[in-house]
Amino acid sequence: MTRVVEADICIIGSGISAAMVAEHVAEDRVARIVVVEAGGEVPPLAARYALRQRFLDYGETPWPKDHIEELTATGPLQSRSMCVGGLAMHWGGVTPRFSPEDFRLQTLYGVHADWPIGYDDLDPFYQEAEVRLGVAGEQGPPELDPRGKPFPMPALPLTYNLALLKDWAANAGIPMWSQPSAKNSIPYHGRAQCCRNDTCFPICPVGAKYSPDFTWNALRKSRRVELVTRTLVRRLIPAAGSTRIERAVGISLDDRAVPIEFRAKTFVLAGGYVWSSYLLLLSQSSRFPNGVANSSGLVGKYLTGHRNVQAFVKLPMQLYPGINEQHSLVTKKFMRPAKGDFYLRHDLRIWESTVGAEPRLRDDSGGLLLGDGLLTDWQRRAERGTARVRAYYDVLPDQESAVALDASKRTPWGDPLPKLTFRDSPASIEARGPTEERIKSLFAELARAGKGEILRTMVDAFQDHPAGGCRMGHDPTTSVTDGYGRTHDHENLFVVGAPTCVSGSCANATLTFSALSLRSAAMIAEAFPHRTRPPRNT
Amino acid sequence: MRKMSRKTFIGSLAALGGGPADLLLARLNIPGRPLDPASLRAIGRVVLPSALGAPGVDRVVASFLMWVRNYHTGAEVLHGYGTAELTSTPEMPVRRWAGQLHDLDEVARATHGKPFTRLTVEARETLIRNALKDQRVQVVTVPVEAEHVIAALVSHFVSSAEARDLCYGAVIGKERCRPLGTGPNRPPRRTS
Repeated sequence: MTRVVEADICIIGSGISAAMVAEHVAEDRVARIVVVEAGGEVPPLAARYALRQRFLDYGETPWPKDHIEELTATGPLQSRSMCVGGLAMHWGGVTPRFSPEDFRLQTLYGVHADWPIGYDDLDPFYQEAEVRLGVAGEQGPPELDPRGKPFPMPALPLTYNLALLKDWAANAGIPMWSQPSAKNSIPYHGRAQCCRNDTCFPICPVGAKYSPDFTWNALRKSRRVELVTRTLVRRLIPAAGSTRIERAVGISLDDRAVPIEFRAKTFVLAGGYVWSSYLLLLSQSSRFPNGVANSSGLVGKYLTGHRNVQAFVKLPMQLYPGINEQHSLVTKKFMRPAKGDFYLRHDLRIWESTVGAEPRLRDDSGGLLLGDGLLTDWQRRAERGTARVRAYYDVLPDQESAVALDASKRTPWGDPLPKLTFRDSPASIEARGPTEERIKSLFAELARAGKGEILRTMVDAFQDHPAGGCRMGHDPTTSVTDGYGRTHDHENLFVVGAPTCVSGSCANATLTFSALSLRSAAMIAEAFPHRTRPPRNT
Repeated sequence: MRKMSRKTFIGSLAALGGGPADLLLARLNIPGRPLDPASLRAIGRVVLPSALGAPGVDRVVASFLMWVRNYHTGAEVLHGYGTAELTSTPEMPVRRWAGQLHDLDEVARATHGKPFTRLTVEARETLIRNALKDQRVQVVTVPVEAEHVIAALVSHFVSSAEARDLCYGAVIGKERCRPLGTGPNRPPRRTS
């Protein structure tokens, strides 16, 4: 017999985008919110110190069983994580905004497509996201880093190492500042101050870094949200004679024999860049042979992200790596491209590093280093500091950069699994070589400015912070959702966060996913009455 | 009764020195031929920096043995970004490592007529250098991947906050919870 769960709002997925939507709506509106998560619960904060130690000592995951064995994908999957809190349980907590240019690439540079919203539309929701997550940040030069309100927390202080590296970059003509991060520079929202123990990724043992479980814990405690875990939604079902989504049907992963059905006024798809499109595609029927929300044929298409080039630069300065290795400097100077022969935008970040100063058991000639010989060699190699420099650069997606159903690989319950293919647009293919060379030249200039040398340079082919698959737009024939994430085809179905991105920018994208979700949440909330008094907490 | 921390426990064992501490530490190892603590301490005196002193070497060896003891084969490893692959921790090569300790002792007995642990530091270093002469020993970030037990011991040590501080002559305290601080201060000098 089918188990039926009734709700006003059914959110599918429990990652950071889902948490933003649920918190925003539950705070101010009367609505029964049910969140469906395929994965299980994560270890509580109290258990994380011990889990972190196992990670440090043995490389064990601090998030055991945070995935579902049978649910995987072919292709460059960002992460297997599927659990309460999603990928943001182990994110690095880095929260730059996109730049105003990101939303107008066609208008400004004649490439790719404009978003249906501009930076100014998103600014209030960036602010809201920064407050909800708790972002510690430093205002960059306003012309590069515009913002309507100050950060809610002072910036994470620059370490001794970063202060020296900031001067080095300044000598090269590059203004840099403390990377905005969802890490508490002061105690915030009942969570501890950062103690720079340097395992932000993959686990913060003290709760100084935001992760969605904190939001879920608070919402569940206040009884404003019900979380249904270990439950996989397999299909969205439109109502007969209507385009409204009536039901989400699925299975309990702990008892697959019992079907489960969620009925709601509004459905919110918050499954990230793979699983959101995947569910829409899976929901095909005779009425919707290409899946739901897919009259444009663009569900799953235009997957986007950014590649990076990085280098390690040896510098004639004494650094002390380990003070706060995960914190960095950032600049947006290169996110506003100069007029040139090709389109190039990138960010730039600098960290302390131990590369080139590692201890070793054999010297350059192969001689064995033991005891004091090992220490002396290590100390000599550490006399000069190393900077890690990295630039994410824009990669504009081709339409066929996509998540699709792979009928040759199926789950035990018979559904095809997703297959991911990332493909650059022709313009990006053409620009890739010159882009990477230009960034390497910048690194060389930086090294020269500090009388340093480049130890090595690497190009990472993986497109980080992947997004897209349900891109937003004004035109239903060229986009899947409107600027609020509402699908063009189904008025009560929203897709939130990463999938709605039109392009992936050249900066960490989680804050933008959160801001987009909050903008969707504001629209979703309009259908429900305001709260008139605090909820009873009985 | 107050619960003894892992660090205190290891420190207490190290402070006991040989005899009962060796028996206890050896029993902490996984089944099969155990890693002999005395041999490891004798090796530690050669391959670890002298600045640690004998108690420091004993502490590192005890920490290494505890690390071996607490290892779990087949534990889920952190899954990285950009791949769907899941991996688990490999089997720890304790048999091989124990055999390498045994071999050192055999050579010591054959060439000097006494066990490895009773040789002078110089004689031990000679044997160690001979043993590693043709080995691809290197510091590894994951000690379980070390080809030789000596590389595992050294790798275990150099990955520690203590070793980092020793190298830089400063109290950096990597990966430890430390006050966030308010400004870009140089880490204080390491005094001992």
